[in-house]
Amino acid sequence: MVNLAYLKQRVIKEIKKDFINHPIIPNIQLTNFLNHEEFNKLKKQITKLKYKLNYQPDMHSYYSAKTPKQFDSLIKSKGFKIFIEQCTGEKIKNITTEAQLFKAGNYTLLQDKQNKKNITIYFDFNKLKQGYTVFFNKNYNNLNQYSIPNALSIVKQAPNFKSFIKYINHQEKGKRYLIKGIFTIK
Amino acid sequence: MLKDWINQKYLKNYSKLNKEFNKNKPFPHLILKDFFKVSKAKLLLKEVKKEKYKYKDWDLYRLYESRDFDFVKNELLKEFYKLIRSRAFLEIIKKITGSKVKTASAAAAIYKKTCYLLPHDDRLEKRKVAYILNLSEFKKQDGGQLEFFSTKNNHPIKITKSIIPKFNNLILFQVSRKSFHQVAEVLKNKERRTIPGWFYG
Repeated sequence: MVNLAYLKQRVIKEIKKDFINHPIIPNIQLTNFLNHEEFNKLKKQITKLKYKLNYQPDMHSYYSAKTPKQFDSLIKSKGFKIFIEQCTGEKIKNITTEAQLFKAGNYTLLQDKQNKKNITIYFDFNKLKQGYTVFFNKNYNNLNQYSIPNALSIVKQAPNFKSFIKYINHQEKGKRYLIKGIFTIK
Repeated sequence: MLKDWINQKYLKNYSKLNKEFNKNKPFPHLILKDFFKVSKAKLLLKEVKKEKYKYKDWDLYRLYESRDFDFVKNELLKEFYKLIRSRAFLEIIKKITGSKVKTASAAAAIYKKTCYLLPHDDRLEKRKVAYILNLSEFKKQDGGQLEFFSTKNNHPIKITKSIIPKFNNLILFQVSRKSFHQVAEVLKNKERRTIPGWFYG
């Protein structure tokens, strides 16, 4: 399922180096993550899920659904857990996942509540100019990460590192489909 | 100074305005139509257009904001700022809202096409009453409405009041755990101009 290039140890070593040394927030975006066939299959599934609106106006507005079974099994597998640990240098445990959909009018907002340390992954299906994820650190240096189809983003979240998904305005006709997973750090 | 600026009808009947303020839902508020004398309101609009605006874009908002009126050099805006912080004006706000207010702040804002302000309650510092002076005339299809939310357990649930910006309307609302509101996205190529601020206790 996964692009074989990402299973090579020297590649993982490079990923880890880039992840840890990112100047703003520990993160990496791995493009062409799944092999072409698997990605297209998953993309068809993701658009057909039964999405429910999650609207808490002072927190977020987006649609969510259960993660497709095959992908859910992949990211909950021991192999994937090891992959994430090797890429981030963190020991991780439980993961929760969710398929999400953002379209015009949707957003997430920053909360006063401090983030617990975790590794968050975003897997994107389409390219959108809006609805990008904004990451920033305690100095408010920020990084805007745009959705790239078949890209896996791995981010370390902590009290000093926060993120939100930028409001999508009415000019955007497309939708951002993604699968979000959160690994707690041991 | 009050008589030079404020529409005659708002220099009396405070008891009636206070009752209306308190009874309005989803939280105490009042819309004072044609609050200032038209000539003054038009002058305000003319003068705020001369100010420089900073583009602000973060999770909660996308808008343009002028500097605080505490620092403006424009004579008309200085006069306006002096007016809203005067004892006499603060007394009017106290009579209408029931809140003992001691001072006020102001800045000018512009919401252009795709600008917005997402739900929040305004609670900060010693803010008691929020105000918005509208300096634009909008229609429903233009967007940019000031929208109020009903709340449950101090969290906003849904929009229960939508106020289309009308020129020279002054909106007052009580700042509290329930005062969740937003500015809907502006949908057309129009500028939603306001002078927003707060009265502090």
